[in-house]
Amino acid sequence: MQNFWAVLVVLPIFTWYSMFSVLDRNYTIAQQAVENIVYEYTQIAGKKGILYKSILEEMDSRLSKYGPHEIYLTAEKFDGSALPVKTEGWDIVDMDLRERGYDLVNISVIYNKRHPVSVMYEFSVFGATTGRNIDITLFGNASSYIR
Amino acid sequence: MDSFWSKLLILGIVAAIGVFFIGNVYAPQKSAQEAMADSTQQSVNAVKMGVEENAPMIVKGDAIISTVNQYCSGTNTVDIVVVKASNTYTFRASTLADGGQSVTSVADIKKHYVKYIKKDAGEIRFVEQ
Repeated sequence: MQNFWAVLVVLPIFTWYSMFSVLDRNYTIAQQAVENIVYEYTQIAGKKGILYKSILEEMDSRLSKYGPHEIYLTAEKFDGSALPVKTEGWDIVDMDLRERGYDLVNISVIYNKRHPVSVMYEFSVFGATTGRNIDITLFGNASSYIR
Repeated sequence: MDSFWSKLLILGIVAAIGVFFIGNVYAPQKSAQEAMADSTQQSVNAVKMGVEENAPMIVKGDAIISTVNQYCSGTNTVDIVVVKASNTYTFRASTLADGGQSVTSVADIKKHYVKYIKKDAGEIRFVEQ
């Protein structure tokens, strides 16, 4: 009976810290991977001067491993006016950005589902709510000069 | 009496461990956790703020299926419009388009679509690329 009470106290604490460690590590690794993928393909687009559809599809297939996501593409041109000329979305796919005088290509990726580690941030080890509404998703954002 | 003192000693040790746990593990972990949550949330928000609400987002066909499944029921007031070449399919109250086609036959999961959220028109539009 003494063991029962001891286990009843220790088990939830052990479970919570284990879950937190695993989920936090999972988020950190996945987040790093997503950032690396986005950075890699932004650099390719910046160096080539064109964001090829095949390159976009390759990036998308690698990002799909981590769940459903949305991709936001922009290219910016600084022509001396107050705001840069911005082209966005599918319009920049397969467009010769260097030829058209664009200076920057940006890729942002936002995942749709919130990561389960968010729940661990909302509750303390004893089950009390922290009063926070945490909505952490995987994301990636990178910019590259068109060289 | 031996039993009484040994129990008291165990109680004291357990209480000391409890105080140690709360002071040295629970409280620092809690504040570190809050700081981590804030920092990560701010990074996520920074990226989300860089993308405007009505920005054209590139998605795969499975996003159409999940959007239609999420929105299209009897009480839905948002039109989900899928544009494929010259054909337009509208989903509202069910997962069948106005022409009777199911969403799984309209959305091609291998293709890319550009998603536009048009709040004024009350519609989410997917244009096949």
